[in-house]
Amino acid sequence: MESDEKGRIDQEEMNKDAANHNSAHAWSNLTGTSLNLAGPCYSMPSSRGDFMGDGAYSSSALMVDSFGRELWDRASDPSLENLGCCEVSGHSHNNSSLSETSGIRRIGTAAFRTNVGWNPRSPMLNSALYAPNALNIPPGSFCLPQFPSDSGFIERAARFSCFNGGNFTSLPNPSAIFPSAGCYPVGPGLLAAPSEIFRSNFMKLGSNLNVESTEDVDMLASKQDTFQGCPQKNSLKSESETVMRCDDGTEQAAGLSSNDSDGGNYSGNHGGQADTSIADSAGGEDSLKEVSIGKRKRSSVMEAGSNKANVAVGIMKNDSEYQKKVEQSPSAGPSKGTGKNNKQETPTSDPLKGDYIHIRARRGQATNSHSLAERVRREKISERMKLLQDLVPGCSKVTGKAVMLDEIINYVQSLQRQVEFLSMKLATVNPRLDGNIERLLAKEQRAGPSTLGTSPEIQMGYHQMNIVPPGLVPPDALGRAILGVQTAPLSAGVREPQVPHSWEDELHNVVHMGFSCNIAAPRGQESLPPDNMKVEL
Amino acid sequence: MMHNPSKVRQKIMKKWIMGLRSCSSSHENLSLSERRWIIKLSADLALASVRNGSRRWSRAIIEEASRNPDNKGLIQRMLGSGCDYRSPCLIPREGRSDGNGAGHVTKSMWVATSSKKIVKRCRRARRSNGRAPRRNEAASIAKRLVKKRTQLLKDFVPGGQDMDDVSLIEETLDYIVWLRAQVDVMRALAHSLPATTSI
Repeated sequence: MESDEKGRIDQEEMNKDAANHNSAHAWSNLTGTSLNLAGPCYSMPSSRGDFMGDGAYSSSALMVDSFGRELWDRASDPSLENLGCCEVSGHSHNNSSLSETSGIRRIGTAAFRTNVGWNPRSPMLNSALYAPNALNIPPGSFCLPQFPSDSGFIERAARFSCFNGGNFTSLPNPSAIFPSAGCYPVGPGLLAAPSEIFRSNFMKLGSNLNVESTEDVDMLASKQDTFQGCPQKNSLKSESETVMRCDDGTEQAAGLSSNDSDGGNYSGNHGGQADTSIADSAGGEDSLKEVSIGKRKRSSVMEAGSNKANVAVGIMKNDSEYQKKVEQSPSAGPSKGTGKNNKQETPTSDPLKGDYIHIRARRGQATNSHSLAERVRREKISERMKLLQDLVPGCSKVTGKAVMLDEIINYVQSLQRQVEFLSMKLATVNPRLDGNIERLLAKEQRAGPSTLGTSPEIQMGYHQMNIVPPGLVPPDALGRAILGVQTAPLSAGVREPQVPHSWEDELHNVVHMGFSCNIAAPRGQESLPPDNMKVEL
Repeated sequence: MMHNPSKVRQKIMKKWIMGLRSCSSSHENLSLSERRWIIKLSADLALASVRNGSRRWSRAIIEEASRNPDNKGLIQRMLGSGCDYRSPCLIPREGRSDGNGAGHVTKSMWVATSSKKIVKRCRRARRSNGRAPRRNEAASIAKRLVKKRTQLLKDFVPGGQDMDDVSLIEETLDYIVWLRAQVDVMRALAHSLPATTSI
């Protein structure tokens, strides 16, 4: 016992040192090890099955989890009579191949030599052995697994279900062990039989889902073979997104060894899902803690697992049926906002949408119609704020509505003041406006399209403003006005140099133009034929 | 938005000078401030007309200008006849703070505005009725700031009074772009003209 405990303690330490890893590793390990167990475990499923037969999915999931844990415990130390599982959760994320391999060895020393035998065979299990964690559970009273969330278990289950296909055949009586587990090792290699079993189990599990997730049940059940109409758009949407991600990341998920530990990161693995996945993985991790949402997540992840199972079967079928579902479930009112469909998964959903614009509730977010609309509105606003950021100089680093609005207001103000100032400046110009104007226009037209520029002009303009107005300043009353107007553009001028540099190309033309115009004016105003001007103007 | 900025600027310049020229007969008699006013007004109207009333701010500019009876001649000259957005705007509507835009949408806008105000009033009343102490001070402060600034922005952008946030930002976007064009045009002219004084 002491040696075992020592071993467990060492294991603990090693696990603690290890980085967070795939909980699927744990699950695959779990299933791998548990499947090798002999009779004593079988009694558990039946009892668990009864448990599963209960209403609450959460409890059933817990029981499934604890069931798994118990198997671990038994597997780890057959001498153990009680089931200790409390610390499993603590170690669930502390996997590393190192600890796993060593754990394998340790397990092997226990009753798991057989496991060791086939564990290395499976590439998944090799990297995903969770048994050492099970070893670390000190003998103690059985307690419910204290997962960070129940959904973590489901995710692991889902992952395992997809990744352990290689070991499937080697596992004895998988159906006996997992009639009610609901999670089935379904690998890419063995989709025929395992998928069926998986589906059957899935259905069973689905049937156990409670009121809160009845729609999930429908979703899950229908997802397998025939799609039924999903009454609730909310769960549909939240799951659909995860489903989408699952599909996308199947290949990634197949390479299990490098996967993240959390179910939350699960969706984050999928490269195709730029911001939504990242946001949702971040949000998903938080939401994992919440049971109520976790239920939906669980089912969604389970569904994701089933989805993976169906990958080889026919992903397009899923997609089409899923799209039908998207269509059936009415979104939050007609055309509430931008439809945030997963581009990869539902490219054809747009024509099916009809009048509604489907807004998908992101994972971990409320799916109330009001909040959906709110979110759409907020996203619209943030989109436009980003555009404004590009427009207003010096706003690239600014975040937050208030500051952005401040900058925008300042910019608009400065532009308006510039207009006023320029109009004042022009007003001071001599009444020989027309001739000059015509000349200017004509020259500009002749010079070509890109004749007006900003930044150099601005700088030039400011220099001139500094120099010229004093010369122009007439009576004091007006002078005050000019100065008053002048200060504003000067302050705004600080920002002006950041004005789009694309116009810099034109600036040389303009400056040249302006100068040539100024130079030409005193020389003679007959430089241009009058009919030319008439034609142009 | 502006696909060809230089062409747009040329258009604005043309229209502006057209408007200026239409008043140039009386140019010498005008005082400096009057001249300035004419210049600015014609510039604004040129901008608005080039934008062709497709944006609320342009319509608002025209409407505000047309409220002043003195400007009517200039407006008519600059914008020409047959501007459908012009005529409904010229009809002053009582009970409204400022013009809202093209006539065919004005009434609905007005209804929307008044209903929004009613809703706001109700919300305010409800809120003031013994609310629980604010838990999230930072968020409320931020909201207040944003609201203040939104209101400020509404004051600056012509025709932005009765708009919701989303469209306000769109209008601002558009307005900024075109305002820049106007500034460019004016500056080009001011830059190229000889700086001679005439008071």
